Amino acid sequence: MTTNTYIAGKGWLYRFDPRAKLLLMLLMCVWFFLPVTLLHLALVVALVVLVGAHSTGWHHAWRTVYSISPMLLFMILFMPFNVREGVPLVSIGSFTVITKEGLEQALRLMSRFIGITYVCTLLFATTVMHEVMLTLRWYHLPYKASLVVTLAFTYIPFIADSFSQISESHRLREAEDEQKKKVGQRLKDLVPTLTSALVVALRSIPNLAMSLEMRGFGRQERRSSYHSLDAYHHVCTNFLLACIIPLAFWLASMLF
Amino acid sequence: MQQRRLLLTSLFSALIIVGAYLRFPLPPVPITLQTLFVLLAGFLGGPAVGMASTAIYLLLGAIGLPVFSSGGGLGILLGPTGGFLFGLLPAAFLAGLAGRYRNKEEHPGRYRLLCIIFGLGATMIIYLAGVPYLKLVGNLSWKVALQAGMLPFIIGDLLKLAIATHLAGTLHTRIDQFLGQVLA
Repeated sequence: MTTNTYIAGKGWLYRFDPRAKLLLMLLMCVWFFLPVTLLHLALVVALVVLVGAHSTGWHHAWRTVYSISPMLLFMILFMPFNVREGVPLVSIGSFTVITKEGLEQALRLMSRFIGITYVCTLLFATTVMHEVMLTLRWYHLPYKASLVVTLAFTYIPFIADSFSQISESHRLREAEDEQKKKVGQRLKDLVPTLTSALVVALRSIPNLAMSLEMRGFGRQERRSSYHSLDAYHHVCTNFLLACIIPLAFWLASMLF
Repeated sequence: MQQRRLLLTSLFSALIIVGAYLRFPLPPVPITLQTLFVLLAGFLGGPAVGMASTAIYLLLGAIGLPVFSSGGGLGILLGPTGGFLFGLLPAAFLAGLAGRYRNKEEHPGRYRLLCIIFGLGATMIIYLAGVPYLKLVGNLSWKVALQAGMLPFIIGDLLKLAIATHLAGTLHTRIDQFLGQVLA
C-alpha cells in the first residue's frame, strides 16, 4: 500500500524540494478556501490537475478522482436539494427542486474537494516515502513520532499480507461456498480471522523491540540517525516558488 | 517500557490504516474495520496508546497518504465526513479508559462490561462529532444528516463494538505480558 503511492517520473514536481512541496501543498489547500468566484476556483483546480497529470500521468489523476467519487456523488445528490433559497432552476409545480445557489454551492464544494485531495496525493505521488519522513523531521516532527510513523509503514504490508493469508486459509478450510453463506455466518467467521491476524501481529512486536534496543533506542548514544535532505538544489528558489504560485493564482483571480 | 508502548502505537496505527481498507459486506451498508481497531487500541493500550495511534493515522491522512477509506488528504478531513475522523481521537481516549482497568485477570466480566460501556460512549462521540459536522459542511437538514451519516451505520458499529470487546477480552493478557516484560 505504501510502496505504490510513488509514481516514478522526471517532471519538475519530482525535482522540486519536498520541504517546499509540502509548503506549496498547504498554501494551495488554503487557497482553495479563499473567497474567489466559482469559475476561478474551477479553473485553478483544472490547471492543478493538468500540471499534476503532466508529471504523474492521467491514470493517477483519474484514480484520485475515482477514489473520492462516492463523496462527490453524495455531494451532488444531497446538497443542491437542501438549499431552497435563490433562483429556481428546476421546479415541479410550485415546489422548487434545485436552485442556482444550491447548485453553485455543491459545485464549489466539489471543486475544493477535488483540488485539495489531488494536491495532497501529488505530494506522495512525486516524493519517495523516506523523503516525506525526512521532510516531516525537517519541520520538527518529534523523533518518536517519526519513528512511530516509520514503524507503522513497516507493519502495514505485513499486517495486510497476514490478514489476507489467514482469511484465505480459513476460507479453504470451509467446504461451504462463501457467496452462499448468510451474513451472520460470515460475521462469525470474521472473529477467528481477526483474532489470528492480531495474534500474528502482536507476536512480531518483541523481535522489533529487540532490534530497536540493539540499535540503542532510548539511550543517549543511538546507533542510528536520520539522513538529511541535501540531494536537492535551489532550496530557496523552490521555497520562493511555493509562495509565489498561490499568490499568483490569487492575484490573477482578483484581476480577471 | 516506553519503546514497547511506542511499538504498540505503531502497530495500532498500522492496524487502523489496514482496517480502513477491510470492508465487510453487511446490510444496509458495508462496514470498514477502522473504528474497530480504534476501539481496540484504546481497550488494549489505554488512552495514551489509543490517542497516539489515532493521531498518527489522522496525521498521515492529512498530509495526503491514502489511509482513509475514501482516499487521503486535507480534503477528506475538511470534507463532509471529516467530523467522523476527528471524532476518532476523543473516541480512542474514552475507549482507553476501559483499558486502564487493572484487575482484568481477576474480573474479566467487569473488564468486558467496561469495554462495552466506554465503547458505546466512544461510538456516540464519533456520531456527536460527525453528524453536526456533516450537517454544517454539507449544508443539510438534521433529518438528512442523520439518515446519511448515522442510521445506516448503527448496526455495523454495534457489531464492531461486540467484536472489539471480544478481542480485547482474548488478547489483553498478551498485551499486558508484553508491556510488563520490560518492567520485570
